[in-house]
Amino acid sequence: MKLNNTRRSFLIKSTAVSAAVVFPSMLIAKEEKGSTKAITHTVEIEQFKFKPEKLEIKLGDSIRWVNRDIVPHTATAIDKSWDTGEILHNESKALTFSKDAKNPIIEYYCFYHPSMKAKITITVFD
Amino acid sequence: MNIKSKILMAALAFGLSTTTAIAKEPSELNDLEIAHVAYTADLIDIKYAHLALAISNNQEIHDFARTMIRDHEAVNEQALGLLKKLGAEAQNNKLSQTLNEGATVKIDELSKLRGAAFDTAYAANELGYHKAVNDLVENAFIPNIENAEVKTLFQAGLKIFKAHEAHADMMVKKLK
Repeated sequence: MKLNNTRRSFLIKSTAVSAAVVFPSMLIAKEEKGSTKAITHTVEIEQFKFKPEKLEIKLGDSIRWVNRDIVPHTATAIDKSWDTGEILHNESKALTFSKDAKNPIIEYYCFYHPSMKAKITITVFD
Repeated sequence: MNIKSKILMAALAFGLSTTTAIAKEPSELNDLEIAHVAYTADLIDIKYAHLALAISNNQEIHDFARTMIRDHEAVNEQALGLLKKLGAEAQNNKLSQTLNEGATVKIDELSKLRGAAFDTAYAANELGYHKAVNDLVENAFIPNIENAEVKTLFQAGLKIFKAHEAHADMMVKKLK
């Protein structure tokens, strides 16, 4: 089921980590309507691109951004509702999308390099 | 466009007189001289950025300038690390000196400006500077670099500087 644009709000649970470490507790951030477990998706930042540029996740899932570029990057919501902060070369930061979103499609970019853009689509567990 | 024309374009972008003497064509520089030119070009843009932080009151200019400092310092750190690993040292050369001379003139020009006049001039210079340097790196340096690791670093650097060029272009259009 897709989220309703008008009545949902969302919150990012920031769990910034460095050196590509993700805390195990993040991996089961939330379960809804069944036994499907939340998972952590990985987005590689490489050659000034988010890979993949389009990602579909479920509510409660986490995303871990890994920076393979020499220079620091960020993953920052266009509406500024969440931000990973600076991600250094060969380090990572993760966020858990733990509450309902206003809009199931979230566009984000690198605050330092605005030409880098990507998109997340959030669905809930059926 | 031949290499000589590119150099002249670059020289103009850096605020130099076209009569400035350049001892060697960029394509004739060895890897260590090319590394020195690139390192110098990074330091020059860091200087421009510090000037922008000191003079401008525009938040976008500040954000851009901080990105220039952050990125160029990161690239130079990688370059120094690679040179250390290779047991080599960058070699100063006429082109590096010419770039520095041009930057001194440009900084003098920019430092006399204030407000929107400074912001517009800084953004335009960043666009022109990155275009010129990217042209040199892509067409004169990368094809002639012999060491594979140095070439890889320059290819990564070019991606970064092209993103800067695109960012500067956005800034120039916004300030119009």
